[in-house]
Amino acid sequence: MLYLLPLAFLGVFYLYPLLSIFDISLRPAGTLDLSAFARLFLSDTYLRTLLFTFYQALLSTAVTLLLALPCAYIFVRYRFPGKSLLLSLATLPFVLPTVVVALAFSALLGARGLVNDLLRALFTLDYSPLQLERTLAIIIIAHVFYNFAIALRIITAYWAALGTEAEEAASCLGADWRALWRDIRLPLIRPALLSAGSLVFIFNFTSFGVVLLLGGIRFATLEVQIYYQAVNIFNLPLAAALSIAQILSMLSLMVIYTSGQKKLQLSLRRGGASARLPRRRREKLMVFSCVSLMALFLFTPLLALVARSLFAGGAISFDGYRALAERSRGSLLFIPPVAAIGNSLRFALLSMLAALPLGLISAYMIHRQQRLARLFDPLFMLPLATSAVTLGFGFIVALDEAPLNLRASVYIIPIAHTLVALPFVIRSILPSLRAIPRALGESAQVLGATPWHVFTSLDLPLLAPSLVVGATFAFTVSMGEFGASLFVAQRESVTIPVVIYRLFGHPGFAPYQQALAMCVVLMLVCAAGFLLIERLRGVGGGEF
Amino acid sequence: MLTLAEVSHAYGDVVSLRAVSLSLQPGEILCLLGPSGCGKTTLLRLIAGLEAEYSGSISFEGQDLSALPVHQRGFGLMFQDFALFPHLDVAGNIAYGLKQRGISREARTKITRDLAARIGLAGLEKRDVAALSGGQKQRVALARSLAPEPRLLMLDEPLGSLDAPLRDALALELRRIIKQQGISAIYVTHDHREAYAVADRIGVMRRGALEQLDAPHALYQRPKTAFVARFLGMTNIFPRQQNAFTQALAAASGIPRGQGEIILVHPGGIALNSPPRAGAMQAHGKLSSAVFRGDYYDVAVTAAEGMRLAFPVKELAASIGAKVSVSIDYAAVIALRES
Amino acid sequence: MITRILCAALLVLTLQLGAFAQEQDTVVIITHDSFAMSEAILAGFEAESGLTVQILRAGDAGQMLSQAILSKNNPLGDLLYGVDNTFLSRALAAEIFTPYESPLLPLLRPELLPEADFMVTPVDFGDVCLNYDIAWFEDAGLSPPDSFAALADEAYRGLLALQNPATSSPGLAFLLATIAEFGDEGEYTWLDYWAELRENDALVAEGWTDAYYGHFTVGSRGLGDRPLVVSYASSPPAEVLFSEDPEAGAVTAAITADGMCFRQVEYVGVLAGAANEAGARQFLDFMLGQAFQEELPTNMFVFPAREDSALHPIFAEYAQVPALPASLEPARIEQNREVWIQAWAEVMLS
Repeated sequence: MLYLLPLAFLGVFYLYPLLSIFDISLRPAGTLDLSAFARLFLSDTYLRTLLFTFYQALLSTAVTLLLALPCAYIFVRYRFPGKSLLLSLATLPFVLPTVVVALAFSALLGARGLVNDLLRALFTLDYSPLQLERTLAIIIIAHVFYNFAIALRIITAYWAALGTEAEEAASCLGADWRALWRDIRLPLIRPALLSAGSLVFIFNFTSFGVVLLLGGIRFATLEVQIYYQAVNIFNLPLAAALSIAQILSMLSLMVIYTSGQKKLQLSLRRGGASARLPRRRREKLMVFSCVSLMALFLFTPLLALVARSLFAGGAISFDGYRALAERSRGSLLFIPPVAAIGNSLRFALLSMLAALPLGLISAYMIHRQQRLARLFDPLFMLPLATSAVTLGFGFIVALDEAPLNLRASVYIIPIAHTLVALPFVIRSILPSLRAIPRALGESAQVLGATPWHVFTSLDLPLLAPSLVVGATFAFTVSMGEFGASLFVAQRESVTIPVVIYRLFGHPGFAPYQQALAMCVVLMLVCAAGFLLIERLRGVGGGEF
Repeated sequence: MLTLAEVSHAYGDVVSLRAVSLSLQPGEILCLLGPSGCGKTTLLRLIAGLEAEYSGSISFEGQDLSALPVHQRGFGLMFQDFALFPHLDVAGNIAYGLKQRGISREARTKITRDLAARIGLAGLEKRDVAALSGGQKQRVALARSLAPEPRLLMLDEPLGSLDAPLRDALALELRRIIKQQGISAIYVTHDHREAYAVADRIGVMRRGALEQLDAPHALYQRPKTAFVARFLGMTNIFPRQQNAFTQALAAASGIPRGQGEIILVHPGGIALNSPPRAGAMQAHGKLSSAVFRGDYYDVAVTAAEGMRLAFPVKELAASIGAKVSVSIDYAAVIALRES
Repeated sequence: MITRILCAALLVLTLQLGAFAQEQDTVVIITHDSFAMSEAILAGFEAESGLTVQILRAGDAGQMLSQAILSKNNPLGDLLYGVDNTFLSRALAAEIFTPYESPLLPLLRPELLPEADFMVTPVDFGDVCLNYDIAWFEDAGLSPPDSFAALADEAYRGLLALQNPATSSPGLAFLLATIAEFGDEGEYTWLDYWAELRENDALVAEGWTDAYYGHFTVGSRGLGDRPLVVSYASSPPAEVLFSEDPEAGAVTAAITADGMCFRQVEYVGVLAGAANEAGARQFLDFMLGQAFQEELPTNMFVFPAREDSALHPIFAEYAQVPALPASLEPARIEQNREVWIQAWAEVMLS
């Protein structure tokens, strides 16, 4: 019965709107018109776009996993000061609007950015050696910047709960470090790797802002094409055909992924493998270089933002921040940003409260109903793989009558956020859920525990680390999203990203500084949220 | 071949090994016996190289091991819960070490098949390890450790998770297989009966220190400390000064004053209702318990001074509560140290 | 423990939802996400009319119109504000409006009135023009380009940042200005012109924010290296208004030579099937009222459609309104938009 809850949610707020907009787009005059599909396959523009979308997503995902893997290893094996703080803060980039990230990147890596300044000064060059603007490389770098935390956190939460015996056994049998990675570690963390990989891939596959802003006009993903066709040209049939192509590509990938998922009988343990202090020089060096590289890569762009928000005309100034406390110029959009913080937190809290139980139930459903899992597992991922514009239009056409007239309601914001947060929660929980030994629950039931008791006393503590990761992402997704929040612009719904977006829409120095100051506020609020969520883990305890 | 000299180790502030010294002979099976937390597993991990920080020295065939990484030591370690690779099948598990040695696929298949047959796993090669019973898992783990022909085999409570009847049978089988391979082994257990069955020598450990190292028979006959005696299941342990009888018994047994303040009355030297004779001391008491064990009875007699003596007898005529006499061989009275 | 957490969660949920109560007797304005108006002005209308104003920002201008068309059988609101002349034709063809002839029409600039049977009413206009960094050009001893032809000159190589017309409204406006200038027939068409711009290393940014704050020397505070950017005629006064020291004067200026600006006119229209048509008309008239019109420049950086509106002093001093902006028929724009953008992309990418 409980399983109906997420299904109903998905049905009403995803499938129904989506099918409605497809229906309107492809059956404008009551008869099915599939000529748009023909255009899709006949023109090599779209085929090229599809290929490029795949290519860049694959490349970005591979690089993300490749970088996150050694870091996850270090986070799992070693204890060092500031570890859990670093892990939380690594999630920060995820919340930033793409416009802001693009600014931060050009402040760092642009032709006149910090790195080039440094290189020029260092080697006394009269040109900028690093020419990344408008290249595929910078798209990949930005994607890694955004998604690193997804990979790191999902893998770490899972891995930390696995013991080290298999590895030690392999070492004793003569496996060197390469063999350990190849034969033991990678196969054992494969479920988490696939889970994180599929999320990251979908994110990159549907990337919009990053590709447009950093890649320039030479690069366009399917998502960009869909937006262009739906909004600028208003060619709904073609937009629908592109959306369907996008969804089908993801779906086929997900099906391959789900059926390729070999069942592993691993046992998670509460507390898991104990991390220890790095002792040998080599270990210390490893931890140090991982932490500093991570900090360098993830935090210098953020620090560049902070710095720019504080400097005005060569001197430090808090004007940007001071203005945030005021209802500047009495205008409707500039509600006191303090109020925007409250709104953002309210929506984030609501989305988290909705996404966590729904995600948990969905994960159990996928786990228990093995046969249905093949269907549901990909289904729950689809909202991430669906163009935001298409789904937004679907809301407009479908949810227009009571009792579902949500088009202009504030409810639409937490609903949309929950839809996006759900896959994160599911993907965070599933690998751990699958690794809970079945016998554990069964023996508890034999001992007279009710299913609810089994859940709270056995599963929940084992799932706690993954739940924290899921909650963090649900919170972050909601804090950073602004498309849905923008739509309903009653005063209560103005969130931090909306304020940033508005401020960046005006010329002038004051809005620029205030926008940057607001970004810093967004990061601070998120960081505070992360730390609070970590605290909640008291339910589960454990290393992570 | 394996020599440990003054090896000490600590986990943070918790000292886990205190100046352990021992040496292992070629082809010998050494049992490390002790309660959980006594440091026996840590000792294995140090020898295997899984723990790197220690003081003292560990060497193998004259070579100091401290700089040799785990995977180059060529030691086999069988883990307490087997640590089978969940993503590999039975054959994959067994062949893993061979693969690391660079042995060809054909040779691997052959060795694996032979070993599996010898260890009673024939026909299970393609089975998923999760689908095996406890005994089968244990065999796979053993086969996996043996396959690459390790220079030294270490087994950490290999029978710990199995039930008692299976354990007795498998302990003997383990010894047979290890001897057949002719390799040296260190075998960790907390069960003295298992240790008797398997070991050439037994080392009893307590709080990180090696308390006594002896052949099983010698260990049984002459435990050196109260802890060892108790851990071997012996109960007739009394302070010499407990009462007049214990004092007299110690003196009569020729234990000099000041050497043993604790005495053990070995159960093998106690007889029920036997006539007084030379070389033994007679005591009177009440039969306080008798447990039928099939071939023998475990009886306990409470002597007049409140001393409780437990020992086995072949036949039992008296009933509980009856007045009985016991005679204690002087040779069965052993002086113990308080560790 | 768990049960307590759940109870707390439910409680929070109920409290949260209570905070979002709906109000009755409202007039709903659908607009784009750059809409901004002083709260005091809106409150004045609410007090006078007894209506509650609800503003729905439905994404950018294109998204807003698409959504209005999709929901035309059951409109999202009563009034649609923000359709400009580049999208007007599509809006009219979709028949989403119902006519209304405001009594204030005679007060508006006549050149802004569309031929559309009172379906829509102009509210404001803005000119998309090149902006330049005054100090940069002074330092370089260069004068800013005074015609499109000059812009393609070697002297301005690598100086211009503009927006992708496929995703940006000023980008499209600038493209349209060049099409109006060079036409699409004859030996030298607008496509040849763009080939020259490309040769001259014009930088195509994704949108206005990216171009202005990311690449324009003034907006990016030194990060960008483009002293010329496609922006609005209202940007220089906005820079002054929001600068650290408004007394210091303008740091940027717009180039308003004949034909170099494209005028975007924003219209408002009553939606067919509006739930509150009377309220919609009331608000429309209010938008043409002096109070609203005079607040337009400082809130949305556009100029009032009413001829008799007084401008904010900074706008009066620093705003340059082009005498002869470029213009193209809305119908022609709608008809050719896709083809033009496609052709533009081919020139810029090939």
